[in-house]
Amino acid sequence: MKRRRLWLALGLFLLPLVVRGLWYYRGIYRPGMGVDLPNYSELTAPTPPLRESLAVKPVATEAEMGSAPRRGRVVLIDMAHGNDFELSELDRLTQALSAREVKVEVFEGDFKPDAQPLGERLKYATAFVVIAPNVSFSTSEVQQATRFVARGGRLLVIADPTRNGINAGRFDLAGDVRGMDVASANQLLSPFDIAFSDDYLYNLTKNEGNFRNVLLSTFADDPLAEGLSTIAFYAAHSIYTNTGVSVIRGGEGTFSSITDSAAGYAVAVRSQDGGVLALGDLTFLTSPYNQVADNGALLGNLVDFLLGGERARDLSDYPFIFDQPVAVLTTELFGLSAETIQTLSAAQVAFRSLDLDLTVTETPSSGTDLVMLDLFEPVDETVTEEVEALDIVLPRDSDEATLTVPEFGEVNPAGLGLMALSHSEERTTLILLADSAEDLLALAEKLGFGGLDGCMIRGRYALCKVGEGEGFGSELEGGFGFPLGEGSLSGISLEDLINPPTPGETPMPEPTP
Amino acid sequence: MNEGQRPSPALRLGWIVLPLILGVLAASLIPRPVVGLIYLNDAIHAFSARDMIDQIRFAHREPEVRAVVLVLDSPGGTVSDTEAVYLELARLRSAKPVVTMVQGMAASGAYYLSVGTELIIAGPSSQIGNVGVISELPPYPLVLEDLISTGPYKIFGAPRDTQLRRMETIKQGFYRAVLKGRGDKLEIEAETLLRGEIWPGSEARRLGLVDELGSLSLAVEQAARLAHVANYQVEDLRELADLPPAINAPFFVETEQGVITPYPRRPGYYLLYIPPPERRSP
Repeated sequence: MKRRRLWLALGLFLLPLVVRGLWYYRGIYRPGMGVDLPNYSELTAPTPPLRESLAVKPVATEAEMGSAPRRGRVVLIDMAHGNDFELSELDRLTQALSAREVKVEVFEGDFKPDAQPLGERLKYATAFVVIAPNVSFSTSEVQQATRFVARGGRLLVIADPTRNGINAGRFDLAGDVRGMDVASANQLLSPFDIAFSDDYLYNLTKNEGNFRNVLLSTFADDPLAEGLSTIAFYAAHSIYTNTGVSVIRGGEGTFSSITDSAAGYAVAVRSQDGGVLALGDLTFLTSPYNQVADNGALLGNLVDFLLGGERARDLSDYPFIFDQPVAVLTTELFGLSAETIQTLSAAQVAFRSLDLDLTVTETPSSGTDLVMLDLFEPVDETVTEEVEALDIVLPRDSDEATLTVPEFGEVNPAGLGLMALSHSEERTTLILLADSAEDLLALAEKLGFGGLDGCMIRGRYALCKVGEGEGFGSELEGGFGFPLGEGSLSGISLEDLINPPTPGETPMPEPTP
Repeated sequence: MNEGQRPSPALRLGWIVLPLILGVLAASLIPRPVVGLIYLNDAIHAFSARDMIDQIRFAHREPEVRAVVLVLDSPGGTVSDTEAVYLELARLRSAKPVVTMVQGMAASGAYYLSVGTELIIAGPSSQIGNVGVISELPPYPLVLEDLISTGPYKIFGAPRDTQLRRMETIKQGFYRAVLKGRGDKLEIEAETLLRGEIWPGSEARRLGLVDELGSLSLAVEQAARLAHVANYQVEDLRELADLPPAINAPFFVETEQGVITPYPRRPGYYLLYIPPPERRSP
């Protein structure tokens, strides 16, 4: 009995506990899969694949120097268009160029009084390098660069997504973050069917330490890619071309930031004629990144590209047509006199500013370029030989006493001076011819201006006004001293040209092409 | 007592009532379970992290707290503070279930915290993701006339390139935490996840970044279910722990005009979402 009461009491005591317990608690918590943490200690930072040394080619060989202008090769670097880089970043490139006995010059614009415009600088440059421009180029500058390439110069344009002139520090991305680098660079590249895209390439799985540092292993069969296995570009624009060569392209998993798709985007493109190269990254050229993977070899190939053009020199490059000290050849006609000395002294000053010596000599010697002056009826036999070699027909040899100049055709020599340029292995020779001694002196004065002002230049030939022509008083048909023939306005009188008939009257005949 | 004598009615009642009363009194010692709420409505920085850790430790040691709901509306914050809270949450989870409710945003470091919980519930339009690291590189090393140090990186902390590569390490840690926390639930490729995108809750659900779409009530119910408790009470752990009010320390830059911009005040590594700024008027 008593025992029963004890059990009852115990039960009654436990009853509220059980009721309350079950009212609130329906089981025991056990962590489902256990608490599993990442193994942080095994995480390591990726290291770059470094090469021991850069593939910098040795000093220029005799063969290389033989093809180079004796005055030396010059690579001109643009710093006049808001270029977002420092020259010191190109140390390895400039060292490699110096090792090949190439001079590096900087174009800072023509704002200073003694500064030469771009066109003048390109006359003697071997290559023109434009990096990360953020100021637009003028139309004339684009034309000058295009002509430069057409005549054998090499153009290298580099744009980099991180060099768009925007300095966004401490996450401060306020305002428009679109820079001008792509637009400016594309101005230069447009004539060559190359265009940068305003994007950057990235790869989230195969990269060099960060998603925007892409590893590239897809190369075209091109000298620029010679000896390359893998290179690393550090945030690179993609580049488009229809007719050019995509030398280096991204592979699988390399996306464009614009499309977030992988389509084998190019980061290095060469123009169809091979004279223009566009690169989408600058950082790979700088230290220490030029030691990663095959970047050093690419740098060496880049130097080969810059020095690989064969510059054609003609009179439009005056005064940079000479590579050696210049000697003016005196003759019976053109000797030292008060007038000739005054003319030549001006030329000497102009040449000296270009690091060229100008002397006067009776006998040409080796190691000098020559300037020869004579009349349209040459006194000097040497001049006659040179003229014939240049396919120039002098008035004395012409039935109609005209001067025939390649690129110009037949011209009335009255009041004109002729300049003609010839190159040989030994020297460069500039021939000046005119109708009279006075005209010849006037023509020689143009040597001092440095730019052949007042002359019409066609390749190796130039015609300059040095005296009074027979234009308005010419007895030849057509007026203006032009004989009938190709290029003349046949059937049109001088009177009609000056006072054209009013509409409704007899229409003017169409000029023959 | 003789066999013929029976206990009095009072005594019989005593045998019933007294144990019952004692049992009721003993039962009152059984605490009503609490589902605790820990709010994060700020970036993850030293003060907010310490605040959260205090609440986590309170939840861990107090027996009546049976489950925790982490209520997030945060763009993330510093790497070190995020990892500190993440590890404390892992310790708590070994004893009690933790559920995340995303009310607004769980970006970057905030999402890092959420993958360390058993369940993630989000609003349909809440912002989820931004997996990745952000940092400002130190300047190029230079020497100054009057500021002298004993090593090239004493002042700058690390070479620029090394700082960039270390970000990959932190990113990998973040990514592995996501893999550990989400496991087979993830329906997204690594490449896509690591792009750093932010997804709305509905899409995050489809990608396996969150478990359910719902409200705080649902999160509380789920936490209670995991903890096997019923008829619980829901409490803000800050109040329950009698902690001081949250310290409003400025984490972001404040301009001269008093505008708080979403840029951290000092350089470093961040698991942080920085929204694009407003365009300035021309």
